[in-house]
Amino acid sequence: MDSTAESRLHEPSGTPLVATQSAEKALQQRLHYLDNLRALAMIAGVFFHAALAYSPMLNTYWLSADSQQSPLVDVVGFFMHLFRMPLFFLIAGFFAAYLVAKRGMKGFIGNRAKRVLLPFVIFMPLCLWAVAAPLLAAVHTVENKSPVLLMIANALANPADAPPQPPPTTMHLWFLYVLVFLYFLTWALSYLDWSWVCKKFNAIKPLVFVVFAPLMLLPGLLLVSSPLPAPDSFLPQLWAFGFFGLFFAAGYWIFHRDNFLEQFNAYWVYLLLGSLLLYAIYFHFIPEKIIVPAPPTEFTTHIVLKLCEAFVAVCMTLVCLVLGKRFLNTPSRSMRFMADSSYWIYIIHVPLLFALQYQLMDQEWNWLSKFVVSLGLTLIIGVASYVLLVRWTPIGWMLNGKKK
Amino acid sequence: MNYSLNAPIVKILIHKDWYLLRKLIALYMTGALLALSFISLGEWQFVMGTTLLFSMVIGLGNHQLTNTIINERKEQTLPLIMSLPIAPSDYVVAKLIANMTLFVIPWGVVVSATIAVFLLTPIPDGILPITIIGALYFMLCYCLTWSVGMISESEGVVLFVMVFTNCLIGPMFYIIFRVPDIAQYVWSPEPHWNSTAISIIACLLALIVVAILAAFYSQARKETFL
Repeated sequence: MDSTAESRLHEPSGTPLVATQSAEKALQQRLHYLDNLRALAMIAGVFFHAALAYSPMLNTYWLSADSQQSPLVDVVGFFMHLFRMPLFFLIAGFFAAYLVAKRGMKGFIGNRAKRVLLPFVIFMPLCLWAVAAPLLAAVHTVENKSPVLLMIANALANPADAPPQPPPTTMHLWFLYVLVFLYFLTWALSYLDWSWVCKKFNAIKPLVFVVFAPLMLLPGLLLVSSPLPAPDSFLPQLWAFGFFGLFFAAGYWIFHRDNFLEQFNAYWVYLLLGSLLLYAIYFHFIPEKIIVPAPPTEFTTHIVLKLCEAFVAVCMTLVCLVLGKRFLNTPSRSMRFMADSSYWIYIIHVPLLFALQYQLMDQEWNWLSKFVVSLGLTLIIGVASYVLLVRWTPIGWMLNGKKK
Repeated sequence: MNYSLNAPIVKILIHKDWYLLRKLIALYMTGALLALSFISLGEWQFVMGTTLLFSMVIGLGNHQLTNTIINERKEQTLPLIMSLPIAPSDYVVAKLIANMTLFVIPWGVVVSATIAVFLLTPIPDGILPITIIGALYFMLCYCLTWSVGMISESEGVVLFVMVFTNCLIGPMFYIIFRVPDIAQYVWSPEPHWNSTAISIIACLLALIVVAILAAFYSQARKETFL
């Protein structure tokens, strides 16, 4: 989304609104750090998914799970997993407020339908096919099969003994699906008067926010197991609204809130250290292997895990925002290119990764070499296809708007 | 009868109803989304979610009819509208399109989502015929109430029809679950579209058409004072 703007602020109905300084300022200038952070969150997703093939925790669950694994993947990957998407949804909420202010509710809906709903409708079936085709080939060609590949091979060999088919999922495009619902809620809830809620939140001191915000996330988080699953079902997931939805709402609120991030400038080191400490506790308690469906966890452990998840998600999102504003808020051609290409790369990365990692499963390399090769090739193909097939074509116009 | 539709006025009247009902639609659709997100949480949540989902559909239908038909009469908006160069048939066409789009689209979404849940989850697909019958019954209730509202323009009569048709939801399912040709296949893995199920569906569709035509017939007999 192009975040340069004319100085016009609109209420949801489209009538001019008396703006906060922060909102007015946001409309006047391009918010490089948010564009860049969003791109980093997406590229981090590519890293995360590439690494999952070498995760001991996900070995029984991931399609391209390799025989070579490292606990380091779990330690780093699941730390990132706790705040990568919360950060993304917060930024999505911020830009939703930005679009409503700039174009009115009607313009916002039209823009989001084009940039989010349409790509989901177009790319979802394509990605599904692109995942299924190499999967069926891998079942026959790969010798060192992952547990899931082995299960599929057995099911194909003995259809009578095959387990029931899992329900279709939105795969890695679940975030687009959830965003569509959040945009719908943005429209629906705009008819309610939120000024009293905003007033209460505006008065909250930074440290109270750090304590209070995670507690608000707790009800949603308690509905699911740890580590957090992806809400990739076609049925809307209540927990996703209670977790990612609240980050989205926070982003929406921050757009209208003056100097919110500046209040945390002095605390980011403490937030980072606190998050690392809580993550150590979290990592100690999460299961060594992920089993689907997750077996019930002891109530106290469940609460501890969820508290850790909530606090790490909030604190690390704030750390990313503060550091992003400090170090990523300058115009840079390379960062701009990354911001533009990240959406496309993210959409195509999972089928590519799977196809590449199936080829590497029978190689006698160590996990790091396989990880670097699969990730590197995915990024190279992603960038090359973006430049050749997307950037200057209708696909690019749909994803990022027309380049001037 | 020499009748030609006054399309520009009809369009304005439809937009007027859509505009006036936008908050209501937002409210009920949010409720429906909440209900839908409950469904996958577990067994009792599934029952609660589906009940809430269909309550939202029924609520939306009844609420919008009260707002667009009954209140128009009560607040003297109807005489103002009828003083426009518009025939009663134009008015009924506008109301039909405005109300039906605002009901049929959410109803269609809810019914499609429910069917998708049945098809995509381990819930036996044999439940599909009874689900379609139930959904069409809700549609019939709405069309009957709409038709009675258009014909009678009376709050009391419309409220009576709303209460009466809603009271029949329980007995309707009770009776349908006891029809042998339907009951024996409810928990089967495949849906059985036998002649009984098809006949009930055809009857419901016929009643929906009759209800709508009755409103048109009644309005066509009215005379304008312009």
